[in-house]
Amino acid sequence: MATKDHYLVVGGGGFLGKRIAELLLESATPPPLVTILDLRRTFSDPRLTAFIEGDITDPVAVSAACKGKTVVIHTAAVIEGFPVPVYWKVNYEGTQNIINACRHHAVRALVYTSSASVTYNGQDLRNGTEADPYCDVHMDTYNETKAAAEQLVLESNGVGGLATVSLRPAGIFGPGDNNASKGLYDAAKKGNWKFMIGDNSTLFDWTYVDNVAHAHILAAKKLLSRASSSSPQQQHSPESEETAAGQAFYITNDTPTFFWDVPKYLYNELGYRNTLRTRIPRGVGMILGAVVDALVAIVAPFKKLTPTFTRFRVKVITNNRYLDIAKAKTVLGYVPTVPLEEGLRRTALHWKAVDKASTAA
Amino acid sequence: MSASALLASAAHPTELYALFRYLLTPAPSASSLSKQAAHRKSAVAPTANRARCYHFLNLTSRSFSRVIAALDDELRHPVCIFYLVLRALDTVEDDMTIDIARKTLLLKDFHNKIYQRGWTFKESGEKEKDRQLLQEFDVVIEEFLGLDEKYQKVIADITKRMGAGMTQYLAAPTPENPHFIEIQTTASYNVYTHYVAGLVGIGLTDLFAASRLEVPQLASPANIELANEMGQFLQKVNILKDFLEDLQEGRVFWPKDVWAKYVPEGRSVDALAELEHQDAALACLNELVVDALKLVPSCLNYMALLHNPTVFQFCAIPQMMAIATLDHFYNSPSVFRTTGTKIRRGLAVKLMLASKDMHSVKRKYEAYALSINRKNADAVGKNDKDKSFMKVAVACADIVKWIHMHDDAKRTPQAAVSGLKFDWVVMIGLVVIATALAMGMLPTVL
Repeated sequence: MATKDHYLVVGGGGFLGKRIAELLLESATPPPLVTILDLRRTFSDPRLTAFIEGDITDPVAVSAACKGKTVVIHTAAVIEGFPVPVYWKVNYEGTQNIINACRHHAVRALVYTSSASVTYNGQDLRNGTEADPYCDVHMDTYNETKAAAEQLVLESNGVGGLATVSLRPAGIFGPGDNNASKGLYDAAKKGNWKFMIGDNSTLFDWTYVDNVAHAHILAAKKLLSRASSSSPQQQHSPESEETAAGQAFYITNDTPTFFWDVPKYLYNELGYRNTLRTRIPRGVGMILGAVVDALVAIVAPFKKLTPTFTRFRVKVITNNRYLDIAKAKTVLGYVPTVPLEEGLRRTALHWKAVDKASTAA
Repeated sequence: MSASALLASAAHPTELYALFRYLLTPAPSASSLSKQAAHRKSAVAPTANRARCYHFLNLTSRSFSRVIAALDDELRHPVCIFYLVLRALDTVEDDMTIDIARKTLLLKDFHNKIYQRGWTFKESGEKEKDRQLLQEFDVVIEEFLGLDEKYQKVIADITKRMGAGMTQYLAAPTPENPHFIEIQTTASYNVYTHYVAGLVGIGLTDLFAASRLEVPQLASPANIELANEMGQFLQKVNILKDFLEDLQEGRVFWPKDVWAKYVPEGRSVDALAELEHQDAALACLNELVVDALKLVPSCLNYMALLHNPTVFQFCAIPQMMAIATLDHFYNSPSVFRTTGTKIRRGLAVKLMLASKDMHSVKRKYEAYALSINRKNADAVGKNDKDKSFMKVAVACADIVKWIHMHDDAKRTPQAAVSGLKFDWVVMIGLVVIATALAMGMLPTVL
């Protein structure tokens, strides 16, 4: 190939985006060109071609960033704590801006970071596949906007020479994540490591961040190899070779575990002993959750409460929630590179260091 | 069955029920079994040889003879003879009074001996409990030669492979290494369990397929690997359970590359049996439990392939006993303190009665996977030497995941553990009724 591929990682300043950029830079010698677009510069790396500060809700900034790129990997989103219109503005319209810019600048591939929750709303889910439909009613606005944006991305596949793919990771965690392991760390610091809900008999998927990043890179390469090989003779190649373009893929560590075993592991690594000794039966949890829900509804006109113990969360924790990733394995050639336990070990090290720093301060 | 079995199950009414049901079905006598076996060839009268074989079967393992008795006529006799031949081979292997050169020759040649009418072996050590079988082995040979040729072929083939395999593990104890057998690596542990137990699974599978009670494809290469792992699982559970007993007899089956990580510098495996090293011993045990648990999905896969109800039950009963045993001694110091650890007789009988179909087998496996996982979670942070927590958790999760994938219908997750809780419900009920009766709460009719 005469020219190097140039990747744009949108949201590359964030937890996942940063790992994608780093793994891309380590993926080959010489590495491809990598540019990041994010609201704020969160880190600097001399290997990056550029770190563009810009807002994906601004079509002009997005267009400028996409110019001259081979692949765009779109990981940016607002996750929690914003008013409803912001979710639509960033997660949905922002994605539309990126699609438009890709088409305008003849970008060959777009990889979109979706979420496994676009098909999940608290039901008991075992070995779910991509054939499952989107939720009629989504868990929250975040998931609703992620599902809508994913549909935009997948519908844009093939239009104007752009190949698109959507990845749906489940339960991303890793050193410094803002959600899964941070939530557990915060809970532990608050002393909430003593009780659990249910009897720990249901399976749950977690995914180490490097595996999710790895899947993004695989998906991008898959789209590129297809785009470059689509000479007229090969266009009628047999359908048996499944294509990634226009498809959504669940991405997990392929190691569902009983829900409370992961918190138990992290708490133990953080030095907490005898954790999760108080078991709240599922039925009691559901009743307590309902009481909390009612309380939230009653005080809603006066004060907005965001409790962690809700009926919905009790339901999620005490239901199975894991996915079958056969499609990602066969089509993308995806295999988790970091086993669950190793991912947890690295995550625990991070939080131990955080803990040490905070007690020293 | 003894009164002690009933007493041990006194707090488990469902086991008591199982024990009584078991007691009410008569145990097969040697003569009734041999008659059943001869039934198909009605021209041939049950011979004394045949009766003697079932007598030996009863002596070697009473519960196993019951399981064999339940097999279809077509398979009963081939399996009985297969079992006796392997038992004889095993007795030779175990016998520490025979010198290595002679033992090696005999083990390698055993597959020829079963074709030699009149051959017997009278030099077994006094301690060998099955030495009588070898002293009268001509009886087994007669019956072997009376089997259909397709069965003879399978039995001879497995005997040849197993005998040759066993010779690789014989050692003469020295002052530096006082063990008759010592397994160096995990790889070697896997090969050893393949020879002594995996091959049994393979041979049985070949017999099932040859009998046409199961489809011939049961013996396909992929399924043969499952059969191998089925046998390995049983053997590994026994090896873990019998650590102390084997050690006392100079045999160490636990792989050295694992236990060496847990014994103090310069010490040998016997350190694990000392109270002061209990934490290390348990950590070592649990690491090997993970290795065994990983075989369970293959065992379930194999059982799901079986169609014939008697063959299914024949395979499922030992598997159920093994998973229950594993649950019993997982993370348990008793492995290093007492010999002859066994699950309660009542529980064993209950499991036998539950081994009739895949559905109840799946329910039991799910309950045991959850039970082991719960013990695992409870043990976190209590033993710094134990690094197996996540590995046990994942292995248990894999078992439940397998069951989900092969479930007939979706159930509420809570139903899974009800089997283990049921005993308490029944017990409380019984106590309430008993109290009511004792207090004279029922109206006097007379």
